[in-house]
Amino acid sequence: MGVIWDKLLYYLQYPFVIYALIVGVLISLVASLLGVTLVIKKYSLLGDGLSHVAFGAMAIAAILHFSDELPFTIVVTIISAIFILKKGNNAQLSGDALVAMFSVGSLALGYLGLSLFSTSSNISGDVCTTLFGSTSILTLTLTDVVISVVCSLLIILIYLINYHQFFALSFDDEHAKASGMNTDRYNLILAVITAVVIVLAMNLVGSLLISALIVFPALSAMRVCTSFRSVTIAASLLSMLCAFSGIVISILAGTPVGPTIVAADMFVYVLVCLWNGGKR
Amino acid sequence: MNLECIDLSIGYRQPIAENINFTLAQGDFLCVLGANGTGKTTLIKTILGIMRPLAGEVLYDGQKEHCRIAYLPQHLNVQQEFPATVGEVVLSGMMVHHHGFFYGQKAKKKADDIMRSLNIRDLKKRSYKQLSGGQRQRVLLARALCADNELLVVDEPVNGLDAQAKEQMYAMLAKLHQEENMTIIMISHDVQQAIRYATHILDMQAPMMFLSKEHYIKNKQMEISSWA
Amino acid sequence: MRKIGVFLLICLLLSGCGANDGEYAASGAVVFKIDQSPQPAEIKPQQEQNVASKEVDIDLTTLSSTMIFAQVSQIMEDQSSYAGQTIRMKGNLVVTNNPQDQSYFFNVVVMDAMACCAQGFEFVLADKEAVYPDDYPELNAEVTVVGEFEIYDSLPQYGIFNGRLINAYFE
Repeated sequence: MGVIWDKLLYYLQYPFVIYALIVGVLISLVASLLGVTLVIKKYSLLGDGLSHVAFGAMAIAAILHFSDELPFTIVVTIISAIFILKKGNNAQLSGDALVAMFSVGSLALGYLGLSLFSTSSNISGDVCTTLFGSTSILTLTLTDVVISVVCSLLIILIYLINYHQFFALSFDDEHAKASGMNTDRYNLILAVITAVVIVLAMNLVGSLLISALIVFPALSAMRVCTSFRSVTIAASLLSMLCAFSGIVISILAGTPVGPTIVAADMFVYVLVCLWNGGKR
Repeated sequence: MNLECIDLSIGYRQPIAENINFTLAQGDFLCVLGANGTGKTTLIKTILGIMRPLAGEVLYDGQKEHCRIAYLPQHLNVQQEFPATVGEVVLSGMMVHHHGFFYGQKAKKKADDIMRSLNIRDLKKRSYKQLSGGQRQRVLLARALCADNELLVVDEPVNGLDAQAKEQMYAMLAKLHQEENMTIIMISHDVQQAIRYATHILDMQAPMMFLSKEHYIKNKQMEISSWA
Repeated sequence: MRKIGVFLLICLLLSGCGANDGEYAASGAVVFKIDQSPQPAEIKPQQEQNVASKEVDIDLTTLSSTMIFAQVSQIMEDQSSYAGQTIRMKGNLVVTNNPQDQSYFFNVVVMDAMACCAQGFEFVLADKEAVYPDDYPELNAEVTVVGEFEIYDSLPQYGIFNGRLINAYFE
């Protein structure tokens, strides 16, 4: 244990490790806040679909040689989120069909585009990294770190200010609308926040695993806690804990970061299920 | 509040019901009857402002916009597995008055008083999803009453409830009508009960009829005697 | 109360999980400060031992594979900060052909945790007389290379700069 502790202290001297921990904890926090609402409103699929759109956007940005892919990816994902949520009310194209179309379409076109046009020497490696988040969180540029931190703090602020509205929207959006709440506006805010969180989280766990980051902490918290407030707080704490330990374990053990964080989330969920099962 | 529906036509794209005309004064109890598909729920959604009318208009004290209406939806349509305490659900009804970041002490006290009047104050910390159907309905009614105390719109309040819970719900609605002088619009399949409590009946089954209770009963008796 | 218990239990279990790192080798070296490059030179080594011939500034052999990958990416991203630093790296020998003049490029690479990406350095041996394949280890053999990081114009027609280790030797 002492050896591991020493090694950890040694690694903590590397600035990119500190950046990774700060950004990782913040991203997992906002993802879990969002997760409670998304899971309840049965929008988990939306998160997954948008992550594939983000992948496609990132592929286009890479092909077009943007110096920083993040802003472009965020904008494209936001537009897709808004489009999906608006058009999802159309009878012809139901919400989940639309998500599926966008999702696999972006994934396929993104990979195709990279294969045809990219000048990178290792396309499958780039794809693999973007999909699974192998070490991306440890190789952030300073711009990426600043964008991630600013976006995360903004999202936390928006969430806190509109906490009661998000509660009403999640619990009974028809009643919220009858109460005079502009549910369209709040759904839009939710869509935009989801898009931003997903793009940021791609750096942490890769686009295929983002759903896990959103869903597992919320599910774990809902098994243990009664009130919405305690579920939100519990989900945030669990998510941050798993992200932190996931990053630490992966740099100590040489495992890929994204899957390690998700494994930690799953481990906690199983633990909570057993605890709950034992109580009954 | 005075509620007027003038030449109202309701529906999603095609009208489900047209030329709806009626006026309710404060203290009226309207029961909306009719088989499924006749537009009862669509009507109250239009009155609540959730849906736009296809033609005509709804006026609230002569105004086109309403400030607030108490709404009790069918409890089976509300999230069953939502993680929230009773207190949180009831307090969310205060949102219509809510202008700051947090609900103030006044709002919380009012919510408490309403819960007490409906005998659910002791359930405040309990999880909503663990309650029985009857208890959930009372919680949702408390939420509705937090929003407004003049007009209450209720959608099939006793659907899925056992006999005792049904009686309790009707008793509470009657109390709100008689003691608080609330205007109540209730959708129901239960004609017998409707006649017991209502002051007016809107029968959406063609031909649509808006009648006071006495006229409705007379009408029905004439109908029955005409078959014989 | 039980919620606190759940959190504590989870914290305890997660903190106990630190797997052994196969790559951890206590082959630290003396580090000395260089003016232009801030962070790398300030990182203190884990243990101090006698060094073979050169004083190494960045010893990648003490890191886990995830960290090596991240550190090499960092070096490639911010090449000017690392110019002139002596780097030790353990990895596999990969030889690539230069089609233009039939010469060889020698690289020491390490795979990332998912084995889908490789990171590493091209290196040029200090010994100019060395000939491939006789004076070099086997292809894909595990080698430890120590060399000085240099930025050079690898594709002058495109202005693409690359980093490589020069004056390198095998350990």
